[in-house]
Amino acid sequence: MPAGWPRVILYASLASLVVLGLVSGIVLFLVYLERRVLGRLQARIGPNRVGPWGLLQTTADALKLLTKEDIVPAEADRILFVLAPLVVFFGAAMAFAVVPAGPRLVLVDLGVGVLFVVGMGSLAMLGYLMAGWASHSKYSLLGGMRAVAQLVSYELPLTLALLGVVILSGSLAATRIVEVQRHGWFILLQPLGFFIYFTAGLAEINRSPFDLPEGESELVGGYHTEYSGMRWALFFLAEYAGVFSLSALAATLYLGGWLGPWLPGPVWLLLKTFALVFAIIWLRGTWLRPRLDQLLSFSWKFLLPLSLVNLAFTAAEVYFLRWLGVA
Amino acid sequence: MTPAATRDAGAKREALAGAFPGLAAAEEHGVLVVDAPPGQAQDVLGYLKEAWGLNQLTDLTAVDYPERRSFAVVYRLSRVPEYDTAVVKVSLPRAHPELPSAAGRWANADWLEREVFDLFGVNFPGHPHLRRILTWEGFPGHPLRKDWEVAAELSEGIEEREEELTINVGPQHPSTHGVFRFKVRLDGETIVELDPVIGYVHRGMEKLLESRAWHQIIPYTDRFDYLASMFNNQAYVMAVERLAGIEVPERAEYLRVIACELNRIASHLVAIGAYGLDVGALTPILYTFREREKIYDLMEMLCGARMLYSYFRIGGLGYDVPEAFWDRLPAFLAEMPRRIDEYEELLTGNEIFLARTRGVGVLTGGHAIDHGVTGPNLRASGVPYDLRRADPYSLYSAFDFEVVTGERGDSYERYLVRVREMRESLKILEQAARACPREGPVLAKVPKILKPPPGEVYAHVESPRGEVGCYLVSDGRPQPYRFRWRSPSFNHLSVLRELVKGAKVADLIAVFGSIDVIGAEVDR
Amino acid sequence: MTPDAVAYVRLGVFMFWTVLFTLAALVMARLLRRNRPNPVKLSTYESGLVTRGETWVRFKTSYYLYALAFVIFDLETLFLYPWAVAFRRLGGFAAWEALLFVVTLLLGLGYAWREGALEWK
Repeated sequence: MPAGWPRVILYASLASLVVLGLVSGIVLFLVYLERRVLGRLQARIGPNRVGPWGLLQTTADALKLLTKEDIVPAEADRILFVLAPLVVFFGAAMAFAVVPAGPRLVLVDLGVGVLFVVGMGSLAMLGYLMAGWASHSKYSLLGGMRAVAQLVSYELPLTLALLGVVILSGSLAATRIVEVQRHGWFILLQPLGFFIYFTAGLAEINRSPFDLPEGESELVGGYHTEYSGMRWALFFLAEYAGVFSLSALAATLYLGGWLGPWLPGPVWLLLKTFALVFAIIWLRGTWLRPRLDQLLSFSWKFLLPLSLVNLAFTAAEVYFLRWLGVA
Repeated sequence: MTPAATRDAGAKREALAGAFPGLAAAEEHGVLVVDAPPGQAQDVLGYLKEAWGLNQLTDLTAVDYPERRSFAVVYRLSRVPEYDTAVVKVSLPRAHPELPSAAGRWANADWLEREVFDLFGVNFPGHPHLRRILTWEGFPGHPLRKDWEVAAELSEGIEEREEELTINVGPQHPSTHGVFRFKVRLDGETIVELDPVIGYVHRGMEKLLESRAWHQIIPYTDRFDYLASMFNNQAYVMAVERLAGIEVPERAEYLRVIACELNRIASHLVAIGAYGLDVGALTPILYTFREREKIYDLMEMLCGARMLYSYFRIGGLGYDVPEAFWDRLPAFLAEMPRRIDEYEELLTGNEIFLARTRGVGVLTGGHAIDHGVTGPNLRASGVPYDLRRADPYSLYSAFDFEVVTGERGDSYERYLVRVREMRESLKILEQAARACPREGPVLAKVPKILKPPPGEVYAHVESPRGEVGCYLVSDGRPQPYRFRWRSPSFNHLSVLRELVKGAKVADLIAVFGSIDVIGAEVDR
Repeated sequence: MTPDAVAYVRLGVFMFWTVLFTLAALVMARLLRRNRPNPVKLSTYESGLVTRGETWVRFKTSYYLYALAFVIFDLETLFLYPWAVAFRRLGGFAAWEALLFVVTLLLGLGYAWREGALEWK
């Protein structure tokens, strides 16, 4: 190993811990935020007792979950059951590795950043399937199967929508994609792409209105019906980490990431991200859950053709811009 | 015109005597009661259904008369939507109670005969699968027989039968609104077969109330359909008043209408909000419950209770209204239309809501009548049958309101009929609040120990769920000889099986929510 | 030490710490929580009843149809990525080529649609 590697590893470790700490903190805040915003949407107050304005509510909840009994059903496939939440959380956390908060403020400036995010996103699918299958409960199994059917269907439009951004920026690296947007946010050139990415992204992280794999009123808890304590908390953390990473990535790829006047880059990124987070919470408060067959039809028969159209549209756009002499 | 349509009891009896010479028929409280021998029962029922158009089996029950060594099986028929009614009574020997099944004639006879079999031990040869329904397999004896005694074996647990099944939805499931169980066989997420299992909250109310004084029964009726206690109160007190010939003061009648219509709105608010939850909308229920609380405040002013009111008394009401009620009620009536618009914004126009509910769980009008379906569920199928109009009771003939109907009978229209019925109830409330006399008694003079004369009576009201009926048999003693509760939910639940066959798991919840069933009322 | 190598090492380090982080959470919970299992607690949830019949059944085939369609389309989509990165440097010929490719994809989708592979039953 050449000299200098220990330093790389040391710095990377410190940065990793900072990112993980930030992610945990942000997720705790996000849960609090959702409960408050949903409260306002639903003509009630929301948590306001623990700490100032109830800010410490979710911290208290996390501590409570730590002390909760953790039940592994007797009939479950123990190894898969234990592994599933780890896989899901791992997949959700990986997205944070490549989101840049500034030109040099990024954990890993990966050349294939976009592809990496897409790949890690579908890792969660494996985790859901493992959880659903390993629980040996019929509700869990149905939930796991729903998760797979849903992910498989929405992965395609998502991947195709991102192609538009890749064509315009000529790169797969998140930092480069942001830099290119100095001339204008991609949402202006890619309104369709943004819509497809955001919709399919919601489906990929199982957020309302695409929360079928949990489908409380039908499947009780879906794939996590049998989970409790910290293992259940990992699923929960993963879901909110997913909400945040989806919003952060959408902000990075379509809303110019850290770019913005007056304020420092990370602040801009957070502002844009939380604007999207708010939209996600709003959706949860006002929409309802489609049926699985309707959900799948929507992806295969509407989003997928639309994303192919978007691809052709983007190519035409490039030629048009070149003709104008802008790019 | 069929003889029944003339509504002339004499002509009806003549027509019946022409068709069945020697058949005894009498009139009781304005209702034609036919005494048919067991051998002739099916012919008489068929005749009444085909020739007189009595197309709905409203109720089927029995009364045990040990000293006569007989059971009386009672068929109560109605014509829908132009109301008419007749009762067929069949006397069976207690030693060998057997009567051909009517399940081929009315679909809901299936469950009703199972209930009579379960509670009385009457056999119905020809029934497709006669087995217990409210108590469990292996239950000792038939509890509604007069000579039945609580046996020691009762403490034994419920025995699970070995059956081929894939998944149990309920009894402990977030969307069963009470305690039900569906045994569902699934192929992927498609429902191949569904079998509703009920009886989890069977409290033997009909048996219990045979040992309670007439006045004492009112609080028990609250607990049949706990979301519509006022209506239960009313069905019961109306039956007793009719039996004992008690006049209710006019002011009390107005207040009864006000209490009932407020209760109807409160009940529909729960139905709509919970329906939102069933299809994954978290928010509407919090809005509907906000207004429900306001109704409960009004109810509390009337009787001190917020949910189980026991407000009605035989001969009137328990308490007079406080003055402040007359200020609070108009304020509520003025606010409510805007609130209903709010709920509709959240659900009615939502694309996903339409996709989830339109064309899902379609119930045709004929099918609904055949299953004994009443109330909003029947009206959503396009049958304009509302007891407040069909067989006006209390003061309802004096009010101007519309009987809301749908066309297709799908889940969406069942939801929509409830929303629109709330607006109609507001209309009734406004008229009643205006017309209600501000002075006067609210309770007639009724003896403390009531002994209605021997006889039978049936009274029914249009509850938020449908026809709630109370059938009383008195032998002149201070308790009823037989107390029978006709619950709409019991009949509605029996229709579910056909509505969801071939549908998806998610549809099961969407359809079940849309028929708005209360478990305590099903099991009694 | 190429920049790419550094990036992947950093990624590896992040993965390592993420796994350690989750394990730490689980271990901490294990130390803090109570653990009093009993047969009822460990039984499978099925709305309060003992589950009957097979749970690990062979699942419905229409799920596999989607999975197959997914594998085919996803692979083809991946081929488009290098093209997309290089698109602006490539000439018109590449654009037409990609268009042909996308049209082929659309034809495939149309075929699957017509054959009913997209109908979830």
